[in-house]
Amino acid sequence: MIKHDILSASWWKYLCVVFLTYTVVAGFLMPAPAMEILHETIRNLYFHVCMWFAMMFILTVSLYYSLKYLNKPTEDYDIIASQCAYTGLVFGILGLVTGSLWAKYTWGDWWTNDPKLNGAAIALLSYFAYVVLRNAMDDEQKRARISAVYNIFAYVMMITFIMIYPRLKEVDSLHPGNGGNPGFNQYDLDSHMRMVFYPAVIGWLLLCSWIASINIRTERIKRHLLNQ
Amino acid sequence: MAITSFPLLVPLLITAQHLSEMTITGSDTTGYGGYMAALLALDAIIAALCYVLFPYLWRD
Repeated sequence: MIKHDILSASWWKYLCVVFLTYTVVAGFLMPAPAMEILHETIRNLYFHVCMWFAMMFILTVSLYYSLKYLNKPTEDYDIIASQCAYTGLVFGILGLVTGSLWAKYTWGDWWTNDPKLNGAAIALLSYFAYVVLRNAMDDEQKRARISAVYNIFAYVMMITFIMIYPRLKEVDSLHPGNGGNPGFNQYDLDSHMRMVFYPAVIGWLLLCSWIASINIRTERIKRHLLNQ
Repeated sequence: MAITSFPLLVPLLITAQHLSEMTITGSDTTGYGGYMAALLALDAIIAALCYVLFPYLWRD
């Protein structure tokens, strides 16, 4: 049952460790631009933003395998799609937590009634519903089919809520890059920060894939044992 | 199972709520067009997704 594919290969996991060690060390020690209000919290960029990138990435993988499942119902596609969605949910929660900490030290509150924040929370809610939906059904094929359909809906709503809705000019938002605010890179992502930010993105993406790969492989073994 | 559609309908609800608020109070109608376009776009997306995905749900 143990497949030797890219998921069980070890080279990219070493790469992940290297990148993330660099992110943590350089992220806290490298010079960061001194800015009003933000001050040293700007270092959270290496963590908060990367969580959302990782979530978007793994949920896109999940969507891809849901589409593949609908095209050709295969148990393995369902396993990959569901485990990627669960992993994405974890990273989304981490994104909310790191964002909440950042908001506390810059905007003065753990949670503000901001369209970007509420949008992210609702997007996560639709993925919680995905988990509930999966747990509500016993029949494996029916569960796989319905959750694949739901996953496509949830993905579209997630994109609408995180990427499109907060960016509308009509919306008031404190969040950089939204509601007509400039994004970070336009004015304060200097070359020192780029030297940490880009490796950080790759490192977190690799960690996210690593967690997802462990989930996928465990689920494969579980299904295999159940089918015996 | 139908209850899981609620989070998916929240975008529609929020947009419709903004529009209703503007229509009823009539005070601040800046961005009316933007929300209207967003509502129509959401409707189009949902209708298209339903059209494409329903056969998969129905197949049993």
